[in-house]
This record gives sequence, structure tokens and C-alpha cells, in this order.
Amino acid sequence: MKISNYKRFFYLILIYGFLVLVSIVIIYPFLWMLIASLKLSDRAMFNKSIFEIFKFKDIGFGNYSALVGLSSPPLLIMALNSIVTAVVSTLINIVVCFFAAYMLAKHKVVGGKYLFFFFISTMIIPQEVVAVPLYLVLISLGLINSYQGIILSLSAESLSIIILYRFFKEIPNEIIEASYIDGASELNLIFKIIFPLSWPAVMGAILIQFITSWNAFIIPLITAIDENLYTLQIGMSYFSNTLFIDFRSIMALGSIITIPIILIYVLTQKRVIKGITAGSIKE
Amino acid sequence: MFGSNIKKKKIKTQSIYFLFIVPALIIFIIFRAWPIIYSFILSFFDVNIISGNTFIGLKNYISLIHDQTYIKSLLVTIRFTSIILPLTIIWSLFVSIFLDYKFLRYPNFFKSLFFMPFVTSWVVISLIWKWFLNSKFGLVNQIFSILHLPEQNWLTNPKVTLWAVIVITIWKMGGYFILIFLANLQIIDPSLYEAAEVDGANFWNKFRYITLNALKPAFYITLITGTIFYFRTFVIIFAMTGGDPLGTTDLLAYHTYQLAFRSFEFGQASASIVFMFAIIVVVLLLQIAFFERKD
Amino acid sequence: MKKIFMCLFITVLIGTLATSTIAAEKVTITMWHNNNQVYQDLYEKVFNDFMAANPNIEVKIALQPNIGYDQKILTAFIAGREPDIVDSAHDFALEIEQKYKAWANLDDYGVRDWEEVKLMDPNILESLSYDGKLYGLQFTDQPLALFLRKSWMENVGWDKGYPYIESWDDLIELGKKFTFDDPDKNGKDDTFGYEMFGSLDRNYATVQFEYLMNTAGQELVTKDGKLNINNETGIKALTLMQDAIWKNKIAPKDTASYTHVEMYRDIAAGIVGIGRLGGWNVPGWMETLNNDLVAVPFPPIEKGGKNYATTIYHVMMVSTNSKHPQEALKVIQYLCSAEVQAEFYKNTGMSYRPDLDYKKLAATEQDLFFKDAMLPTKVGRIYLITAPWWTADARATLALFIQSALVDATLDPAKVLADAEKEIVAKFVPKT
Repeated sequence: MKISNYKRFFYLILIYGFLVLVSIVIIYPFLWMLIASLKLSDRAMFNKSIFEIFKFKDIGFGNYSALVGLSSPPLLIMALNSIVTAVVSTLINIVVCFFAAYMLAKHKVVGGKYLFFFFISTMIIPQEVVAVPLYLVLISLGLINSYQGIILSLSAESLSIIILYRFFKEIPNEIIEASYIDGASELNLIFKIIFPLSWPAVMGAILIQFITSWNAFIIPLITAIDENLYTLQIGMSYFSNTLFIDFRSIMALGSIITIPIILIYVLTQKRVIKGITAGSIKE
Repeated sequence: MFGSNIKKKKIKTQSIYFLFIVPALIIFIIFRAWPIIYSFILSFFDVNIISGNTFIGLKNYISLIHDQTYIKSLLVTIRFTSIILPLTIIWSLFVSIFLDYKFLRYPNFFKSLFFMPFVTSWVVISLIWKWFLNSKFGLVNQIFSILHLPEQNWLTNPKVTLWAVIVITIWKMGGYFILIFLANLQIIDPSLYEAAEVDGANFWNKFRYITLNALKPAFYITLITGTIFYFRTFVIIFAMTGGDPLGTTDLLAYHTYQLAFRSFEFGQASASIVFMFAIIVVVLLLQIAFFERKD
Repeated sequence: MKKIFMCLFITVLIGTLATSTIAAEKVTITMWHNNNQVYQDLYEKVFNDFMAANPNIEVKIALQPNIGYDQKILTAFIAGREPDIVDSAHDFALEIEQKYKAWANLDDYGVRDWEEVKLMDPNILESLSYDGKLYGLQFTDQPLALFLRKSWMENVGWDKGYPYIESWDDLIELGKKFTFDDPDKNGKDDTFGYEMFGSLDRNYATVQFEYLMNTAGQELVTKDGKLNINNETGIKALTLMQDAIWKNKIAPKDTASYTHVEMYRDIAAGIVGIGRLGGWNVPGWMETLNNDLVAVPFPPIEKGGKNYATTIYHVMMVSTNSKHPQEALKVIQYLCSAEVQAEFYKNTGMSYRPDLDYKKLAATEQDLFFKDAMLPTKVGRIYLITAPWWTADARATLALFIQSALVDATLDPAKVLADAEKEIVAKFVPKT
């Protein structure tokens, strides 16, 4: 199909222009948040000119130090909570899903099809919906207002099973049979061969689960009653509802929450994208 | 004799398999499946935290049906979903076609960039956009006035607030669907287009019969996952609109949360959860039926 | 030998019993409040003194965040770990009582004979009774006033003396000057004359409407349990709110989405000229705005009319499940004493006692204002009356109507209130 060079050029300008516009719309809120967090006076915000925010006035880290100085709830503890709940729930999730997915993918388990369907169907129930009865369940289990409660609730994400299942399905059975012939036990097989082989998929699942847990809001909201259990996300919402904490400090908190994730994303985009769209794209 | 040995061995291996699956099963049952079942049971009770539960049959359901704010919430959710799903499809189609352009350089950069908001936190996004939508000092109105468009009261005009929520939601989630569409576009065999041209097809014909056809799985997946994603819309309502103005952004997930934790009506909230579950299952089944019937 | 052993044994027995009774007598009282760190420090200080004087009672005081305070208390009740004493705002305490009857009946403990209780405003005590039960005691007394920006008044040439605005029309006029005449002299159009609430969240729209009605001497629910919104005052109040946004343009267009969070944000940013002022706002805003505040009572509708003020207050309740109600009440009585109340007033500007020497204790002029210019002898007090049917849901229904007038300038306030009245009476008021 021959298009004249002019036509191609014209199309390119149109398309690039559009894509650049969309890119600006995507990036701007994050940029704004970062800049607002570094501003020390409200003048730039309460202003009808959109360029005011970019002026090089009143800049500093005062909002961040104000955050650190808050004692109730303390920033450091919230950050610790976010990290701990995200890391541990990811660990638990990956470990249980790894084994479950491997069994279902590579072995004929009685009722395996139904089990797999069960795991997938839990994705239909959003956390936001399950939160209300989960609250009552956690109370009756004595897990309310505890780290265990938050962590275990967050680790019930079935996307990991789907990612790992698809990957395992693609491992040729010959490898497995070969190791059986070599006399390897099941555990040996899993740890020495399958696990290293599936590292890319596992990595993807880890990243996605970590991001999901880090961004979780409603589960920590209803589970954490004491301030000391608040995660950064809850802290953000809590602060924005508190008196005498100004918006710029809230943007500073938002930056603390968002920048690590964006950095992780930038470094691992391909894996993350591949994982999240697992099962949606016929490859 | 051999038979019973084999059976024993089978039971043994099956038990080992199950052993590996059981931890996941336990976690998912306790923290995902059981709460739903528990909701179902609780929905038939008047749940009083301090003095105990009393069985009241269908009364919670009847209360909900007679509750005007609940019906409104239901309608708002239907309205929201029926606008945002087609919009998502159109938007993803549009952008993915652009990104698929043969002579476009660095498509992966744009792909990754557009996906980025997907991995960020809803709380942060909601608070930033809440300020952007401020009538006087917000970015959106300032840009509108530069473009000589009429400024809107984004958070207090009942006609526009839901649209603002829709646009922001697509801003955040769009990247995911764009990737799906793009992946399906990229596997189309270009020789199909050439063959069509030889047969005398024009642009629209090519588009209709080749492109759209190939995108059928994309439509399917988008509808299914989109429905599930959009049903979860909660944090943006919680942090940005609170259902205002006049309940025009009072989506079911938020309304249910309020029933439970603001009005302390756990019985009614449970009934609402059963409703939500039923709705989403029905909608998904309808979508699956629609798409599977052709083949 | 046997005798010696017997004596030893009996001594040991008595000793153990004695110590164990003393140990058993040591009682722990837990108390929650949702004020702020200032209160937390104060409580800890006064409780240290209390525990020194009462070695068998240990008091643990915990500051809870504002958000989800109700959920937290409820969860604690479910899990059986509720606090013995709760300090909260009145409307929340009432909600919990209405729904769950969670508080102990204080009449069972004869609190009305206390000296401290005899000093409490009888109207407030009455409003703390629900369904025949006295469920709480007043802890502070917080009439609501208005603040005006001093420097702004100078800049726009408003040269009236105290109280600066004497009618609702004055309020609007000053509001207009504060909006359009660049009162902070920065060459930018970035100020609002008057800010209010309007959100459905926590029924803030009803709160704002009620506030205006109260300042005109009207309650939303009368003492004999009737709904009182559809009258001349109500229409004037709703009209004021609606016109402030659309006609006079002195309030932000986003008002219908405003909770106290948004209003406080704007005030702290220094762009608001007139707004609601409570005693607890004074320290923070005086600091943020460089003392550029002056407090005045909300003006009457017409010049020369009487000033009225809404009275809101913090309440202390004892949980109905408390294992040590006697000790809990001892703690509460201590908190109501003159010394403790004086301490609280010095640091927070709020106390319920009418018998303290406020001129000596007040830290700022504004603190004194609330105890001097806002005395019930000078400003008529409106108490938030409740009827059993005036539940959170009823208030939510009213909020919906109020908000509709705030988002749609074409709606006639008279019709809105008439419709609201019809609906609330039909749905909530019991037929007699």
C-alpha cells in the first residue's frame, strides 16, 4: 500500500500530536503533585493562573519535614506499616499461589478444573464489596485491628494464580518427565528446576502483588482501627480530613506514596504489563 | 491386590497434590468466598451489634427496595457502567489504532506511559483531581477558560459530576484496555488488508470486516474485565465526591459501605452485597452468552 | 509447733487476701476522646494528679482520630473491648444511643445530686436525655460565633464599630466587599466573602441550615416534637444560602460539596473573609492568620433584633457494659471539677462551668469573647433539641433538599422547604 510521503508525514504529525497531548494529561497530575509538595506557601495553589505553580518561588522541603514531625499518626510508622503489609502479603500470596498453580497446571488433580474455576471466580468479587462482611468475619476471628488481619486479607489475590498457571502450562512436559527419570523427588523438581525456570513470571507476579498491596485502601481502612496500624494510603485520606494540615503537606505524602511505585514501574514496566494483562491477551 | 495398591498410591499422590493447593484454598475461602456466603446469611437478619441478631427474613431486601436513595444508587451505578464501558472501548480503539500505526516510532514508550496511572494509588489520584476540579482555582476550569469553553462546577453540578468521575476513571484505567486492543491489533496479518484492497474494498470496509472482526476478543475481554473493574469504583467516590451532589455519584459500592459503616445497618448492607453480587454475575453471564453464541 | 504453723498460715492467708484485695481493688478505666493532641496532653496531666490521689484507679486515656470514630467505638463494642468512658461531640453520642442504647443510665447513679451537675445548663441536660434516659454529661460549652478579618475591614473601608455587622444584609454587604474589592490588596481576584457547608456527607447541608435558623432563634425541631423548617425564617435562611452562592456570589460555587475540611482549608489559606468560628478554632486560626481575626456573634436577621447562638458541646458517656461504672463516674466527676475545668479552659478556651474567673484565665481576647460576649445573658442560646423521630436518616433527607437549592439557582427556597417538610413528616414523624 503506497502512501505519498506527504500523507505519511501528515498522519504522523496528527498522531504524534495527539499522543503527546495525552501524555501530558497523563503526566501532569503527578508533576503537579510533586511541585505542590515542594511549595511553602498556598499562593501558588489558590490562584487563577495555571502558570503560577511553575514559578520558582517559595520552594523547600518544609512540607516533608512537617510530615515527619507529626506524631499522630507518625509518618514513619505508617510507612513501616505499608512496607510490612505489602511485603509480607506478597510473600504469602506468591508462595501459596505458586504451589497451587503448579499443581493445577502440571498434575491431574481430582476436581482440578473446579478448583481453578473457584480461584478465578474470586476475582469477580471485588475487595470493595467483600470488605463489609470481611469486617465482621475478621472480628469473629479476632483478627480485627491486627497486622495478621490486614496481611492475610490482602494476600487473597488470585491474579498470581492466573499468571503462574499460564506460565506453568507452557513448560514442556518433557522437562518434567526427564527429571522423574533422573529420579528427582517432587520437591527437588520444584525447587531446582521449575522455580528458576519460572523466575520471570514469578517476578512479574511479585511486582503486581506488591503494587496491589501497597495501593490497597479499603481493606486497611476497615481492618486498622488503631492509628498505629494505619498504612500510608489510610494516612493520606485521614490527613486530608484533619484540620490544620495543609494541602501541600498532603501532596508531599502523596509523593512519598507514589514516587517509589513509579520508580519500580519504570524499571520493570515490561514485566508488570505482561503480568497484569495475563489471561487477557491471547499470545 | 495390585488394584488396591494402585488405588492407595493414587490417593497418596492426590493427597500430596492437595496438600500443596490447600494453603491457597484456605486463604481464598476464608478471606474471599466465606465473607460473601456470610453476607448472604446475614442479609436475612437484623444485625444489632450490641444486642444480637434477630431473624427477619426478607425484610432487609424489602427495606432496600423501598429506599429511594438505594434505588437511586442502583440507577447511578447502571448509568455509570453503561456510559463508561462503551467510552472505554471507543477510547481504547482510537488510541490503539494510533499506536499501531506502521510508521510510528517509540510506541512502547507511549504504551508504558499510558499504563502508568493504572499502578498508582486511587487515594492520591482522587485528592489531586479533586483540587483540579475546584470551580475557581482548579486546573480544569482554568484550561477551559483559556480555550474559551464555559467553566463548569465540576463537583456541584449534578449534571457533570458523574462525567468527571468517568473521565478520571478512564484516565486511570484506560492504559490497561489500550494494551489489550493493541495486542489484538498487532497480530492481524497485514496481507489480509492487501488482499482486501485487491478485491476493491475501501477504508471503511477494511475497517469493518478485518479490524473490528479481529478485535472481537478485545471487545469481549474489555467488557468482562471492565465490568469487574468498574464495579469496584469506591475510593474515588470516598475521597473525592462522597456521593455528592444530590447522590449523583453514589455508586453501589460506596452506598453499601455507607450503609454498613455510617448508618450501621449491617443487615441491609449484607442484602446490598447480595444484590451487587447477583447483578455482576448476571451481567457477566449475559456478556458471555452474547459473545459465545456466535461461535 | 502446730500452733505456730497455724499462726503463720493464718498470717500468710490474711496477707495474701489483703494484698489480693488491694490488687483486686485496682481498677483500670479506659477513656477515648477525638479532640487533638492538646487535649491528650491535658488529660494525661490531670489524670496523673487523679491517679496520685486515687491509687486504686488507673486511668488510660487514648486520642482517637476523627474519622471513623463511630466505627471504632462500634467495633470495640462488638469485640467486647469498648472503653469505659467516651468523650465525643453530642450529635454522635446521640446517634449511637438512638441506634444501640450503648450508654449507661446516669440517673441510676444519682449524678443529678452532684455539685458539678447542678451547675450544668438544665437545657443541655435535658437534651442529653433520650427516651427517658440521661445518658451523658456536658463537658464543654461551645457557642458558635462568626469571625471577620480585621485587616480586610480596614482595607475595604468598612468603618463600623463592634459588632461590625448587625443584620443579615450587613453580612451580605460586607461579604460582597470582601469578595470583589480585593481586601487583601494583592491585586488578584482570589477571595471569598463568606463560606458555609453544603455537603451531604455527615449531613453538613442540614448543619448549615440549622446554624442559620438557630441564629435567628429557631430550632429545627420544637420542644413538643414538631418539625419547624417551613416558615418565614427557614425560607430566609435557605435564600441566604442560595443567594450567597448564585446571586451575591460571596460563597464558592463548590459550596454544595463543602464539609468543614474544605472550609477550613480555604480559611487557613487566608482567602475567606467571614466564617463560622468555634472556640476550638481560635488557637489554630489565630496562629495561621497572624491574629487577624475578630470574633462577633452571628447577627440577627434585622438590625436591632436579638442575637442567638447555637450551643454545641462535648459530652461524656459511660458505656452500658462498663465493669466499673462507679469508678468511671468518679473520673468524670473529677473532670467536671473547678480545678480541672479551669485547666482545660486555660489551654483550650472551653469549659462548661459558669463559676470560673474567666477574665483571669483567658489566654486570648477571642477566648474571653466566648465567655463574655456570648454568655446566655447576652446572647440567646439555642439547644439542639431532639425528638425520637429526628434521626440521622431524617436529617439526611433534609440535607438532600437543602443541597438541591444550593446546586440549582432556579429552585424556589419556599417550595423546597415545603416539599422537604412534606416528605419528612410523611416518612419520619409518627402520626398522632
